[in-house]
Amino acid sequence: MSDNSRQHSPDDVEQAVAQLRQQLQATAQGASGRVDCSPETVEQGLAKLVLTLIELLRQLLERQAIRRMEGGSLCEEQVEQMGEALMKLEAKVKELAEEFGLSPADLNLQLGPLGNLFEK
Amino acid sequence: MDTMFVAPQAEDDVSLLDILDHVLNAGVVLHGNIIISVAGVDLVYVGLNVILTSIETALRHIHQLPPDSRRG
Amino acid sequence: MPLLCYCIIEEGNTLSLPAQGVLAAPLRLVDVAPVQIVTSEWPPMPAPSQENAVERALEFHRVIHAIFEQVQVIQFRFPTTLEDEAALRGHIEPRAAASAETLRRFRTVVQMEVRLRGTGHGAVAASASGTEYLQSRRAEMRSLEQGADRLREAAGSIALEWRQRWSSAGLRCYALVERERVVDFRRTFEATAGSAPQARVSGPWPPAEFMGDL
Repeated sequence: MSDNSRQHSPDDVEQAVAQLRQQLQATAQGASGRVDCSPETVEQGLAKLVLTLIELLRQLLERQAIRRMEGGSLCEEQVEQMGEALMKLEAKVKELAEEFGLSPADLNLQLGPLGNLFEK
Repeated sequence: MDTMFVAPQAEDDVSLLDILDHVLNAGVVLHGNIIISVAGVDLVYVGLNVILTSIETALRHIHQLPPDSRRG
Repeated sequence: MPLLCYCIIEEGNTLSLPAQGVLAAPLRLVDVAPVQIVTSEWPPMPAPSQENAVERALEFHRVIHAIFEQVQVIQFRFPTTLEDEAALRGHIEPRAAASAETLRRFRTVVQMEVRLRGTGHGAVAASASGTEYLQSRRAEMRSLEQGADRLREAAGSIALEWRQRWSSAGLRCYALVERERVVDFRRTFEATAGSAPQARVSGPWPPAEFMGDL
């Protein structure tokens, strides 16, 4: 089975994250009139959704990068750049999750040593 | 010997996630519409892993269909 | 009247339908020879505050499984709704014969699934390079694939067919298994991968992965 073959970079995804974050807050404001939905709950729920989506995309990119690395179609420098971008994106997702009061378990992420990058 | 009867999968043996994943991601898709919310209910009410797997399914379907065969 | 579609079954069955389906609507068989479609009435959407999407999905699952215990099914993705019976016929009539043939071919088999999950992150220090990170991710992927290979080999002829693919939930393996050998497959799993912390087996499920599209 082949992964998404579109050429999105981790930078594209990171940019999308920043934009979505602004939209999240705006949407949460608008939705806060719902029954049983305080703005915090809605915002957190949306954050959880968006961040798990981002993580899904990141995983697709990662598997694609690994396949290209194995297939020899990435030079050493590209491997390094892709790997670093993916690492950073993973850490960024965790950082955002924490901002919204979500634990890695909430996102079903399993961040090990790398998660310590942004520990306070 | 009747081999059709198999003991049902008790719901406590199968996680909710497995069930929802199957219900939302397995099976025939008639319309070509990719459903990533469950009947318009707020996404915050549905398990996030389930939404994730639905989107994965959507991506697979999108890449299998030629563009003009997708019906609105 | 709008219909919710559950599954396609062979005609001429002695099926005992569950009492009710999703949202307590009665189940009804629609004849599209040589198959039948299990349906129920799909009401206009209740107000959002009354909805429970998860509960409806569970209701759907219970119906599918109550039927699947008795006969083979081609299930529909939930929710597959159509405007009326005429629309359903329009979709199914061109595929009825092929569906019947699929149900006949798959009559005695089911799908067992194994999910192999890794840590999801690179087993490297925070100071690792991008290359080290990707290499450790690759190593984990390979290790899971090897686990799947071992399981497949151990299953031997119990698994008539085997498919696997990557997903956000890890490496997902699908084995086509005769109904009477489901227990054997579970035993194989326990013996091979059961002790692995991130390995899980489930099933029997309708063999949707192997049946292909309608």
